[in-house]
Amino acid sequence: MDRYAFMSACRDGGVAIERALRLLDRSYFPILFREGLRGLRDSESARDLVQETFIKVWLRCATFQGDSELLPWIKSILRHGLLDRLRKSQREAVLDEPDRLAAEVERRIGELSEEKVPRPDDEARRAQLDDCFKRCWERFESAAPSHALVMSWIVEDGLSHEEIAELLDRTPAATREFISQCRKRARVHLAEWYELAFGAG
Amino acid sequence: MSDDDDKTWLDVLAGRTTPDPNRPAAREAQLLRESLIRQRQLQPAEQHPQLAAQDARREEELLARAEREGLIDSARLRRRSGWVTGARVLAAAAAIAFMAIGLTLFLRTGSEQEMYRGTHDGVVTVEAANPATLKNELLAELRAAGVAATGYERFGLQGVDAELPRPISPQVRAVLQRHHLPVPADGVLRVEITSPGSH
Repeated sequence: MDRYAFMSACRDGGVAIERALRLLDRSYFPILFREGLRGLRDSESARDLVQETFIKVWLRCATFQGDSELLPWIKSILRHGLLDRLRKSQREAVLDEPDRLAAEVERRIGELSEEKVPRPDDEARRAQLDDCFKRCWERFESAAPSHALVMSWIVEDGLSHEEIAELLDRTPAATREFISQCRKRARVHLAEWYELAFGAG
Repeated sequence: MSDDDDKTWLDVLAGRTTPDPNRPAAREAQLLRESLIRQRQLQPAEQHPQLAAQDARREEELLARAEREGLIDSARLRRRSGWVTGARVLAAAAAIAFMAIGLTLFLRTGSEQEMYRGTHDGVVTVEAANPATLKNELLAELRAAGVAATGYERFGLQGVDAELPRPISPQVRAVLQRHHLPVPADGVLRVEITSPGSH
């Protein structure tokens, strides 16, 4: 859906909103559903989240400035809702003894230099690392979904500190703490991968 | 892990350049980033049944939700139930019209007690409770059907004379049938209206 058509429908209201809602669904449902499913791991909840997002999009349509593309704006509304749901479901596990695990990995990573960064040069080794990463990441997503999701969004969309703060609805200091927690939790849940990736060097 | 370290980690994870790419935090983030991207690339295309780009049921659900939220209530409700409302209105109108016609016929039959008495020398005799009223009705209906009809009153007798068009039009035929009048063979209609008990 074109952002100008969206803004025009927002101005017109009434029947134009109905047409625009259908267009939004046809244009963005699959991509938003995937995003929701990744975080919620339940197709009905993901579907509900996407529809809730479309409603929010219209309730807030007047705040869309039109100086950016429509999809990133809609995605940010969905992500906000997704983090809210995860927060409410209290799926985040308390991080147990992060320092001990982090310290060991920290020591190994600290020893790295450009020359010593592990770069698997054969396919078998690369496949082994990929397989291990996939397994560990799934554990991470399950144990700390908000942190894992935010990390994947950082990679996919290059989120800045400010954008993360806006997404989390937190102060800059609280956001710094959240990012630090992401890093610590990743080290805990990806310990096996860290071991394999960095330990072999 | 210092704040500065975390900032470097975040920047590299997000794909931004950092002043010191050899810093351990940068190398760690770089490997994480590469692995995450690779994992996404290796993921098979999802074949979820809900991933259809267009789904009428899904759209209806969304619109129903929008209605509940008050986003599109009146406009949509009007249109969606339009055919139902329209059908109801039409049915009600038809019922009223039917009752009105029935009542009219009943009242007409009851009040006028119009009755065909026979034809003599080309003159049709009709008996009615109110001959003048029936004469005026007949005149009006024939004229409305395009016939130049003439009404008269002679010796207390109401009558209508009219030269009918040939062939007789369906409208004229309908008027004749409505008043139980035979179609005149010569095309000239002559009607005398008597009141009950006048013979």
